[in-house]
Amino acid sequence: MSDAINITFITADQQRFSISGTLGSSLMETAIANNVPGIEAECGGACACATCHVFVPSSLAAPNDDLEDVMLDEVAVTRQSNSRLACQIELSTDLQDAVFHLPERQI
Amino acid sequence: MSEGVVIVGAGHAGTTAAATLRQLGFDAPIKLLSAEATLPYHRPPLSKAWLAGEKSAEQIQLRNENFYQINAIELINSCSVTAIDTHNKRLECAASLLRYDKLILATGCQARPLAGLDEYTNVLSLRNLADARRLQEQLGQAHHLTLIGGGFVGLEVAATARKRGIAVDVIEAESGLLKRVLPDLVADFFLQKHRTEGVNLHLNTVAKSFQAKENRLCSITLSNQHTLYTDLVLVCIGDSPAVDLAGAAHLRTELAAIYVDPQLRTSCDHIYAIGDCTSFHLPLSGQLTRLPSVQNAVDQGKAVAQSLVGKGTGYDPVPWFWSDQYNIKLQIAGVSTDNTTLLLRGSPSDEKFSVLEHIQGRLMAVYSINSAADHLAARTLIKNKLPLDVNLAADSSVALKDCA
Repeated sequence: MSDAINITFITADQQRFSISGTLGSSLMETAIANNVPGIEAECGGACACATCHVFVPSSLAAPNDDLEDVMLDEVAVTRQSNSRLACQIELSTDLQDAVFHLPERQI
Repeated sequence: MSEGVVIVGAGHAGTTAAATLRQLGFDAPIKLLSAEATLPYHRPPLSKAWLAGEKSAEQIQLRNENFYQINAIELINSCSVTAIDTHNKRLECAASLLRYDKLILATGCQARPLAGLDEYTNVLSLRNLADARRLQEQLGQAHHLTLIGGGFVGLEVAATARKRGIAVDVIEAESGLLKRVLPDLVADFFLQKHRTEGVNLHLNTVAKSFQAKENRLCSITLSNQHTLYTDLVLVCIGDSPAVDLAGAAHLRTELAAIYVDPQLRTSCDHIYAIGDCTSFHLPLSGQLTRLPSVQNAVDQGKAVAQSLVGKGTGYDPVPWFWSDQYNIKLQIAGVSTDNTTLLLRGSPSDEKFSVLEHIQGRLMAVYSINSAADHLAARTLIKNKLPLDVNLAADSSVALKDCA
């Protein structure tokens, strides 16, 4: 099998986008590459803008590092326990069939 | 609007303008003209993650290839625009004439060249993906890299090269690195950091003469008499806005850039301009400004789309910027002005601090090193003009957002 990872994004207004990404790409890059609405990613993945906020399955809920943790306090909608920045999540086989929810706004 | 909008330039600004027009329900034709052969891409990684081999060309695309067709944005690659015929509202291109109702110039900048070095195959500049490919290829063989110019592009490339174990020299005319864009405390921090990482710095000096073998530069003699030996040179002495088309069409320029009003309109009422090629009066400072940055390109791209659909509220941003060098993330919010008081929070020796510039508590600019929370709080505080409690702000154990 290829390194395709199948994931689903659900927007705040309940639109579903079932897409496929490649191992090693970030969740943000995968969303943008597949025209999923609801992710701004103003800084293109440099962990500098907090506009790629997503809600993740609980197994993924821990931020990568202090920088992401700090940035998550500044997202446009209230941070939840399962908030992450999509640019800091790398697609791995663990994410096969994972579902991600998007906030109603990023700014 | 039967001919629709034509956008000259498919960088961050032009691509954002096209995407935002469609998001706002604009349904007339949109043509997005790129001088390059590739899909539009993010420019910042060219000196960082892409150059380091951490990201591929596909991963830095601004949108995937289907985006343009799905949104009825006609992307025209390898398009060379030679003139604007403002009377007949059409663009003269190398192979065609394109009519428009409204024109958006998003032509960006060119890297400023250093005279007399064109003939050397190992002297490069860095502005676009083609430049970055040449640089990456030559970096693969180079033992020694020289940067002429100690600004953001040069220093990001220096950091990337040092991580690859390449010897690096930087030639800088001023007395320090980034002196014109950072407060002294932060500029000095970067000077020390690059020194610690093994970059050889030549300050207060310029390249005076060049020695070559066949068509490759092999050494540079500086104005301070020192000669340095090198096998690859990157000229990064600044950028100049691409204004030839605008100049020939007699559009108003200021600071050698295309001047725009708060609706992003040029001196010709059917021509707009956005991004690195523009200058404008920044409401935050009241100053005539250029803001060559991703923030300005993206936000002017959004603002011009709003203007074109009649919903423009006037471009009034809080500028922000970032640069990554080694393990250091610099983030800047706001813009420096005269008569500010400086306040330090955090610890330079811990590589985690911010320098705040305020006028009696009103925050004008914040320069943050590895302090993202300060940066994001600063963007809000500067925008809302809330007066800061300076005693609290100096205490880094108190979140900056709680200091107003």
